[in-house]
Formats: sequence, structure tokens, C-alpha cells
Amino acid sequence: MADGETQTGPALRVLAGGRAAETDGELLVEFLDGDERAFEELWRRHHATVHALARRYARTPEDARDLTQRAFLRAVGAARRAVRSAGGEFPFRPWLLRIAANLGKNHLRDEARWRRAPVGVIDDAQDGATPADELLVRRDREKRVRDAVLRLPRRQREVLTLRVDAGLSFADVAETLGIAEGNARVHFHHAARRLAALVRGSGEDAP
Amino acid sequence: MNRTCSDFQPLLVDRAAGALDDDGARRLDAHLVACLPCRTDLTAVERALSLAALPPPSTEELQAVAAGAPMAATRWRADHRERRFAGRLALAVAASAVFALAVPWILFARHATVPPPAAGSAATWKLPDLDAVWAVSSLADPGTQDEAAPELLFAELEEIDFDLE
Repeated sequence: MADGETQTGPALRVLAGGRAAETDGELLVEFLDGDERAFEELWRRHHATVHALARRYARTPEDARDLTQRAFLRAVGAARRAVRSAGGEFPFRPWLLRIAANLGKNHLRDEARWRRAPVGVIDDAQDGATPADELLVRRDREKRVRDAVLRLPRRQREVLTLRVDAGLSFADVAETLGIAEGNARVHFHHAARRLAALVRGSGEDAP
Repeated sequence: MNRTCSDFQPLLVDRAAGALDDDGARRLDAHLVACLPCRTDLTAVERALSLAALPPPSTEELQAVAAGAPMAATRWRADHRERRFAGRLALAVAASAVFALAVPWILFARHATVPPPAAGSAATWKLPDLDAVWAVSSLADPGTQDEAAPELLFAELEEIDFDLE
């Protein structure tokens, strides 16, 4: 029994440490070879970022969850061949986020005709501390700005959402989109300027 | 906004985005102290980004997403199996179609390559050169048996005594 404990303890520690130290590419290869735990580790690492990005394009929380799942499935499926050659070096995270952004954009286009309330409005409705009229005014302002975000030129929108929603650094934004960091900053500046002009133009400077 | 304000525009947006380094922050702060238009501009950019940002998801929503890994993995496996099955089915259908077309074709080709003799002759027959045929024919030689045969025949006829009366 003592021997069994001696053997079991270190084995578990090595497994856990090894899993955490594994690259995304290695985990992806293991999942494709049938290891479900590898996928769970990939999910644990990236689901929050993907979900944050998906919420921008989702009309409901359920849509956001579905988009998150679809982004993972699409990313794994599309990476199946590439990861075999690239192995552990495969850049899964930028790949995944890029797919999530594209899926979100397509989802928004497909769902546009339904005109359902965006996820932000639904979440605001749960706020009971704000008076109703103030809530309505704030909702209207947010809706206009968030709609403006979705109408930004593609690259500006991608950079802005990756920075604001997914919380990526400009270096990571640039890696995700395959552009230079300085270029990502320029796109962000243009996007921020457009939104600021919208806020200024509608007299919404007041906090 | 004076002439140098444009130099601070990138820093100003970086500040609003929370991506300004220490050196940039010191330079921008020194400028903002004396520049009301840039302070107003910074407020507008911060306000715009604040309005653009989505509210944080609820705890229940985060928990629901975090628990989605097994379902996603199962869905991927199911989709993958379905795709593989569809691929194999398409392959089988294609193979069946090739087989269904190839077998009759092979059978037809086997018969077509060994035609019956009559059919082969008919297919290759040409009108012969009659002069050449005549030249090699025994009819062209008066001394042959065939040519002499009528004379012999008449000689035999002469020897027959016809007594008509």
C-alpha cells in the first residue's frame, strides 16, 4: 500500500505539471489522438477570452455560449492538418481568436434580421439600482456606440474588440491578426477617434 | 489645442485604452496640465470606450461557459465521426458508380475486341481489282482445260449421229 501511494503521488504531480506546461499545439495533437483531457485544458485556457469576444457579436447569452463552442470546434477542425506538421509550435490562440471574430461577424450578419436585443442590453436590464429613466438614457447611448463599433471598418473593429472585449495587449492583437503592432495601434486609434466623434457629436460627453 | 497637441494624440488614446507606458504617461500628464482641449478630448475618448465596452457577464453565465468543455469535446467527436462517415459514404458511392459503369464497359470491350470472322471480313472487305483477278485466273489462258472444254464438248456432239428422219 505504501508503495502504491509512493508511485501514485508523484505520477499525478508529474501529469498535472506536464499538462500545464504543454503548449497549445501539443494539447491539440493529444486531443486529436483521443485525449479528452487535453481539450479541457485548451478550453480552460482560452474559453474566457473567446467568450468575451463572442459576446460582442451575440444577441443573447445563449448565442454567446454557442459561438464560443463553435469557435473552438471550428478552430480544432480547421487546425487538424496544420497542427500535424507544426506540432507544439502551432499558434492555436491567435488561430482560435481569429476564427471567433470571423464567426461572430458572420453570426451578426445572419441574425441581423431578427433585431433581437443585444447581450449588453439584457445584462443591463438586470441592474435594479439605477432609476428607470437614467437606465433608458444610458442604454440608448450604449446601444448607439456599440452599434457604431459593429459598423467600424473590419480591421478597426477587429482590433478594437480584441483590445476592449478580449483584453489582449496590442502585441497579442497584432499576432492574432497577423499585422504589425504599430499597425494595430493605428487601427485602434482610428476606431477610438470615430467613437469619440460620435459621442461628442451627440452631446454625450457628460458622464 | 496647440500645434504640439497632435503629437500627444496617440498617447491620449493609449491612456484611454489603458496601454500607456510610464514614460508616455509622464509626458502626457505634463501636457494635460496646461491643455484643456486635450483634457476634453481625453474625456471623450474614455467615455466612448467606456460606452463601447460590454458589461461583465454574470457569474452564472461564466460558470455555464466554463462547464462547456465536455459538451464541446463530445460535439466535436460526433461531428468528426459524422464527417468521416459522410466521406466514406461518398467514397463508397463513387466506387459503386465506377464499378457499375466499369463492369459493363469491360464486358462490352472484351466482345468488341474479338469480333466474329464474318463481321471482321465485312468490315475490311474492299472491291478487288478485277483486271488483276482476271490475269491470275485460268480463264485468261486459252490452253487451259477450262478453255478447251467447250471444243471437246462439240467434238463429242459431232460424233453423235442424229438420225432425225
